[in-house]
Amino acid sequence: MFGENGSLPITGGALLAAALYAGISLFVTGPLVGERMVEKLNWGAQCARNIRAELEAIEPPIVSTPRLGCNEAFGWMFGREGAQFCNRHGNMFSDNPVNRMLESAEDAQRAAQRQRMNLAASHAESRCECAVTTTLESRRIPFALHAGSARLITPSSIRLLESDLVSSLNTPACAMRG
Amino acid sequence: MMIGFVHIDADNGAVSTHRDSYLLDNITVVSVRRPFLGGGLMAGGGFSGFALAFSDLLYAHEIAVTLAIAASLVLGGIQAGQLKLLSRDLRGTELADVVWGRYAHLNAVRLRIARAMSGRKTGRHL
Repeated sequence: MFGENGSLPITGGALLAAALYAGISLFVTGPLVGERMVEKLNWGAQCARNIRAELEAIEPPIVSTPRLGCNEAFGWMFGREGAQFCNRHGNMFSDNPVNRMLESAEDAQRAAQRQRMNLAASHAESRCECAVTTTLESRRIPFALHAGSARLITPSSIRLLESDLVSSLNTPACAMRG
Repeated sequence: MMIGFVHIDADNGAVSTHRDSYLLDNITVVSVRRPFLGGGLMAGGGFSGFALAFSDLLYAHEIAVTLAIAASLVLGGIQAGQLKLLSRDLRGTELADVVWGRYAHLNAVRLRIARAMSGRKTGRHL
């Protein structure tokens, strides 16, 4: 039964099966394995978290401007008496037009920063998905080899999948999405 | 099971398939092969290896489906047969006939044709 592989049609059948198996590895099992490997690494969530942390780190903090109060207006001019006056009537000065203007300017700055962060965070997931798709697409043959050989062959790009994903994340195609 | 048919007319010394008829006296070789055995074993082995090697990444139903495909490929390779009627006169022509079917069934047909051929040589008709 097993010694019947000599004649031409059998070689044709084996070639056909090999081509079929290679095609399935390239278009079905390879990409599936790639997707599941990325899922198992939990890279998507990790990537979005890292991008958000990175954005927060590079975002300049909003510097609070000193407010104009009673001490600032009278304390230094009238010395001890001025300070006593401010202790008694200082509250009246805190709600002044200059302070209101400074507060509203800082509120506007904070709101703009929050909006920027939210927008960047919403783009983070898209960037991460782009990196995954780009990697799976560019490493189609290594994934097919890995899947088709039932893990006997592990190309270096599969072994270093995480760094490959980070490289894809920083490619112009994916970085532009941020 | 057979795709097409083979009729052995031992009295008139002919074998007819769905396409051609041959004189028993002119048939030199009747062979049955399993053309998909190698491929079936290879692909079946590959798919079962894939399912087992990636069992940590695949869902149970995916493993079951892949193993079922692998088993059916191996079974298909073992069962699928090809009967060839070769005549020395027709070597290299399109008329070397091929009948597809179950290997065991085609093998039985081959033996019947061989018996009819030897019967003609010895003068005993089936």
